[in-house]
Amino acid sequence: MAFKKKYAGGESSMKTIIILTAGLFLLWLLPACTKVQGYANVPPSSVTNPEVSVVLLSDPLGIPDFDDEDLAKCISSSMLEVNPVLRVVPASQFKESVYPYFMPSTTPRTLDNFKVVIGNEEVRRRVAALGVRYLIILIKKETFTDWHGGIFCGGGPGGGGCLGFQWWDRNSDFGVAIWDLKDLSLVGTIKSKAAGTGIMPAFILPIPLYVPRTETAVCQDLGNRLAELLSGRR
Amino acid sequence: MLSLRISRRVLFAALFLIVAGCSVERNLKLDARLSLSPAFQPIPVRVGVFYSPEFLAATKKIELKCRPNERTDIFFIFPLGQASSELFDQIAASIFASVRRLSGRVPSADEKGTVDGVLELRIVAFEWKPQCPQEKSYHILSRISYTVNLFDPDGRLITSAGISGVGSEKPKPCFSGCKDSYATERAIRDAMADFMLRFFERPEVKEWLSKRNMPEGSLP
Repeated sequence: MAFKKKYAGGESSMKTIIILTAGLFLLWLLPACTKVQGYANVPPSSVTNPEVSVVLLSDPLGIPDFDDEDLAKCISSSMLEVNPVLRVVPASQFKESVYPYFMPSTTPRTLDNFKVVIGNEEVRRRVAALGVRYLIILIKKETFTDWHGGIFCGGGPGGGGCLGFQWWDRNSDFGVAIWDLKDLSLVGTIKSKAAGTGIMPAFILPIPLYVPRTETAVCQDLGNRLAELLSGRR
Repeated sequence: MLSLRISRRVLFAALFLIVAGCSVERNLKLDARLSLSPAFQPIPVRVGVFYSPEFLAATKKIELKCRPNERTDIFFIFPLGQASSELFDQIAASIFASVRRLSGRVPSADEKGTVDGVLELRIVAFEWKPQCPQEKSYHILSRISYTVNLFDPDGRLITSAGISGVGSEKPKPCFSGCKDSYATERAIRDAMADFMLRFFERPEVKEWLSKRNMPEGSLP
């Protein structure tokens, strides 16, 4: 009887440990989602025709590890989800057409320079032939990761394993500028930030339970909002 | 059994090459030429273009490595002179009234009346660097810089200008129509774009153009 009592007490303490552990995990999982925030500096109703053509250009001087193709992969699909009639002209085709302009060292970076370049008769003719209305230029791309906690691993003749807990905060911050090739103006800028916390407990083996995909979230958000804007929905 | 023998032989051969410290060299093919003529207002002057034999034969051998102390013994050889001259020839032909390849900086007596000036291109520096995953995502950065000399038909130097370009690429799996070094081709193109948009802004070049009796508004 005494044994039964003792056993019952052990069972309840085991239950308490499991509940506490599960509760702790839930607490960690709650903020472990990815939160996205967007900012737009675009006057309302700047664009009214959804059937527009755009070119997506990266910034090879400022952001060399994220090229035009990466930018297209990042936001094209989410743009087309929102506005399937939007036409995305490949950056390589645009750059070949307007060479020597829009190369890394000759891309206009101010409104005045932009007006001079697009005001060039031959450039205008070629841009018109391509049918491009807007240039979307990447102006910011940053991702930072901060690691916390710790996992300790060890081994011996009887075996080995890890024990501990690590989590990491990841923040991504992307921004694009929208240039109007017809009106020779800067339509505005759109920025998007995402933050998320990843968690990785280690009990024998470290297993990541949640990996925040902040860059994917930012790409999706930027693409959606760009497409809404270029469809005249915002 | 046979396949096991072959794979063992290959393995031993690879091991032997590594132990023997053999290095691998690869001659790259570069083609920086444009598929369309540049979007640039032509300049109505006749130029002679001179490339020194050293320039035309200029190559750069670079070891594939992430950090300065590393050693991979894998080398790439970049034919910079050839690729640069091919693009420069294409650009010159599309922006000047006429272009003549010269064998020296000073045109011969026969050539003198046919050119308004002579352009010479020289490679100053070249860099090709893999940016390794620890730093950012893996990509290759290439930089090239040149000096462009402009001489009058009597061989007097009018101006000497530095131009430079940068190119980057992310190595991707490629099965057909692959480029050996996109980054370098992009850097060469960027440098030539720099030449087209900045060289003619120089006061000495503007003065030279104005002496060629260029009509008002025909300057780029």
